[in-house]
Amino acid sequence: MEVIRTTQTQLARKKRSILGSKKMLVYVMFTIPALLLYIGFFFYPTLMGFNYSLTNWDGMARTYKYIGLDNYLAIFKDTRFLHSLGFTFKYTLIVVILKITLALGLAMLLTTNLRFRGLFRSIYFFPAVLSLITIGLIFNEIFLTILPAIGEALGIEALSRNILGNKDTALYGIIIANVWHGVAVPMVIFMAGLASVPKDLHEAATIDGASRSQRFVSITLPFLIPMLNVNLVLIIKGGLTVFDSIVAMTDGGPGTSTESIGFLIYRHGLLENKFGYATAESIFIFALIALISFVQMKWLSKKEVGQQ
Amino acid sequence: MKKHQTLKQTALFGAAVALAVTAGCSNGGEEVSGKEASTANTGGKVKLELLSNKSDVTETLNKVIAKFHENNPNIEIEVNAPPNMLKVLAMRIANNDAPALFTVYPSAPSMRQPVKDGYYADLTGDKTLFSNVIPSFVDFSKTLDKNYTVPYALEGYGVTYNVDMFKELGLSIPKTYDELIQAAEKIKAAGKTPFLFPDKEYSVIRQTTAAFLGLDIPNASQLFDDVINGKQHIADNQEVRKVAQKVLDLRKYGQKDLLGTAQDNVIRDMAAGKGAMFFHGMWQAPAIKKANPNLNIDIFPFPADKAEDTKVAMQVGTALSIPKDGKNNSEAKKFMEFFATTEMAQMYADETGNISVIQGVKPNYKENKTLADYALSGKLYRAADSTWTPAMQDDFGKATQELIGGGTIDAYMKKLEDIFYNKGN
Amino acid sequence: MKENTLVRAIQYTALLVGVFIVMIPVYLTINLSFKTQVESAQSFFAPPSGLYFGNFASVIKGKFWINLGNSLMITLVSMLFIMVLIPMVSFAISRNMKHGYFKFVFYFILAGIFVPFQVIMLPVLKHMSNLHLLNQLGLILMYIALSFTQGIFLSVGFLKNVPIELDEASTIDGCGIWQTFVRIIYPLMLPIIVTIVTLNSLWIWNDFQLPLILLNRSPNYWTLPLFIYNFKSDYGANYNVAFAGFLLTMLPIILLYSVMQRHLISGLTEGALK
Repeated sequence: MEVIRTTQTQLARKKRSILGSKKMLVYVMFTIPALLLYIGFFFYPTLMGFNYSLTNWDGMARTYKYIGLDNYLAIFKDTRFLHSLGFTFKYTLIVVILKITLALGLAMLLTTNLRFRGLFRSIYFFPAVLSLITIGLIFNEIFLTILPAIGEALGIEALSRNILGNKDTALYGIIIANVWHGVAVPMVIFMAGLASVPKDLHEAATIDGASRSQRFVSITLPFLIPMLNVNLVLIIKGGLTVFDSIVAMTDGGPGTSTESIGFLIYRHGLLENKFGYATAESIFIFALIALISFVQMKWLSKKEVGQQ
Repeated sequence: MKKHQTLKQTALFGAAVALAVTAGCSNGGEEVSGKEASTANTGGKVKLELLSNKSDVTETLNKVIAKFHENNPNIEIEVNAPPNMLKVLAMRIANNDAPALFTVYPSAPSMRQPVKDGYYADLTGDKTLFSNVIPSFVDFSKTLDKNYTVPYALEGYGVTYNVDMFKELGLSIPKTYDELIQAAEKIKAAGKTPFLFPDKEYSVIRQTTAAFLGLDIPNASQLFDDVINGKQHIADNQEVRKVAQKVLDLRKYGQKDLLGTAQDNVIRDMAAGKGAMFFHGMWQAPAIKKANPNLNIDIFPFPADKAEDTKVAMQVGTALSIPKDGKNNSEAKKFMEFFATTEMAQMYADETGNISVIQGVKPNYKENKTLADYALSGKLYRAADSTWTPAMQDDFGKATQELIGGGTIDAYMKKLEDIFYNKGN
Repeated sequence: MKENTLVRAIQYTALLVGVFIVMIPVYLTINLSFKTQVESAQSFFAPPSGLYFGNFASVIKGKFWINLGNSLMITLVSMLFIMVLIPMVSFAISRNMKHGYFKFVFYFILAGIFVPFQVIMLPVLKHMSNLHLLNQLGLILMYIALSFTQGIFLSVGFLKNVPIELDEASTIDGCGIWQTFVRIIYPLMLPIIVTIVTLNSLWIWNDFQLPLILLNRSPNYWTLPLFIYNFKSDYGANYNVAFAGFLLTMLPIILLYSVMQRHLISGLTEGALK
């Protein structure tokens, strides 16, 4: 009896494992197409990037030489690149502050009991569906033609010049266009976070006599942290890779004052025949962004709800 | 069971259809030039792609092509004029995807590298192609001492000016630089803007400044060549310094917001009669006339310090080349020859205003008349940037833009040393 | 109570000011595209005396329709593949998280979030050129590949809330894995699929950088963003035509938005909560 049972169990196990491995195969097949595409069109180019960064290729010539880490060493001496780093970080910092504050403020306003709430939400979300290149071009035209004309008519000196024509103010033109576009999505994400706060927590706290600000800090804020995390990742990544609006409005000018990292890499690689060098610059940025994202996520995950 | 098989099959079928449609609808890698036209010699239809940098003359080019097609019904030519055409050309050539015919600038930086790399067909000595070209310009259009292109017309720089404004203020055409400044003073005193500078665009700044360099410094191209090859420094070059100062001096007579003004604004303002003079290419005049057909404009050459030194910055602006060992070179050459006939050259010159270098063309150049006279009588020169690389051109433009934006000449000269002697950052 | 009304008033004012700021560029674009150059030189903000369609005529003279078609085809085909592939992979991963292979695939794809676009921007040009894929098909393949990191992250997270008991029940009924997926899992995944489709189609439709790099050989290949960027050289100094161009490129999205906005916003909200 026992022998039969053991054999039966063994058979059952074997059956399960054969069926199991058949099942496994199907699951694996489910992943193959996507994996192949991912490797072929994302992973492989990344490896190519690493490869080219070790060469002096100009992007056109038939041959190139391997020059080891020379490109990376040159980056540290490249004032134009270092300037673009500074510009990009300054830009990102300002944009992050502006977008987060405006998005949070709007989200809070739009989750209270307001009339026309739906209409307001639709209007405020609209800029997000437009492309940054179109937005950049529209604002470029506004700064070029419309604002100066208005400024002159009203006699306001500051307005009657093209703010994109001055190396100190061009930055703000780009910021305006990007903030106009980029408040909508973080706002919606914050709204989701605000909606996820259980109402009874608020009620309990009010009964206990907590003031509005106390309620905000102790109850709402912790629920907003994961949203803040998501928004920070999105906005920082967008800020560090700013490109479309610069191409539309300043082309890196006046001079080289509004060249972002992404823009400079594009210039170096495709317009100035420094293909190998440009890929080295991009790997450098890769390392930087990885570091920043890592640090940011670690720091914020400590503060999430349920981890106190 | 059946339901789900159908679902699966539908999904797969849908995906296959989508891919097929995409592959079919998306243009293949070679568009119309090489592969499908290999039926050439059998007398079958041949389709050639003409990659052109000159989007403003596409209409006229198409007329020439139409006439050509009448005489050669088995050869079709399609003009493709993308922006950044020179970059597109460079990329396609590097990827073995050269167009059958393309426009080039034989004296420009964009020509040298592909010639050195052996990508263009050597046309030196081809009697049929050059038989109708003015001989001095066969020489003028050589690159590295050989002919890689057939030249058709020149284009160059001059000062487009508002004729009515000049008449109003009693101004005559300045023959020397000092006279130019005097005229500017009078215009300023009358409350108008003497010059319009589109300084938001550093490529324009590069073009005009390179023209100044070529005008004021004899053998400017040689100077830069020496600096690039390490034989000379530029940081202490007094002649270049003087030109830098000139650039700043002229800006004093410019509009209020220099760096914020794009080419579009300048064209609009000229058309609206707000500015007196605009120094740039002669192709700006048609654009201005389009914006205001009632405006009276004409062009005079930018004067040198001494009247007899005045010459015009010109380059061969309309020229065609073919790839080395191109499959359709014989058909392409037929078109290149056809375009060089006096009849076609006349039509091209009349419609586009570009100064023809083909023999027998009557000069009906309207605004460009003065420039044409100078050019065709030998008083022409190549702007200083003809020996630079495209990267140097951009860096130079940006550096000069920074100078205009409030930089010092010392910093500027150091930057130039960096760009040309140290070959960039 | 008085305090509340005051607060309310301030809130409404703030919101209205914001609406104003948001709408001005849009208003200007619409307004100026219907005016002639002469009219707009007199006033930017006054509504046009008559609806001038000449500017729009200038815009559609060129390759506008071809480029619109390109944008449509690229977006739709990419979305088709994304809608099929991402749920497939996420399903396989989420049901086998303990297994080494699937864990590896998950983190391998997730790691892509750290890779900024610039790293592959230049190599992709060379890569696609070697494969003769410097065309719309190549662009589609790129978009699909680039959609995986975010899409799979969202989907796997979503699938945590789809209990595995459902799978097992389906297996007991005699269904294979594919049928389980198609009959049960996929329909349940629709909310997150909508989110992913929304996010990706917006991105693909409006993307500028990738087409700039891959499709630059000829205007026949362009998408709408490339069209409007290059359109500058065509209209010269006539900014009314420029604004007409902007409006036309915005029109498809505006139309879609007015129909879909509630779904868009709620779709994003769902996604964010996951």
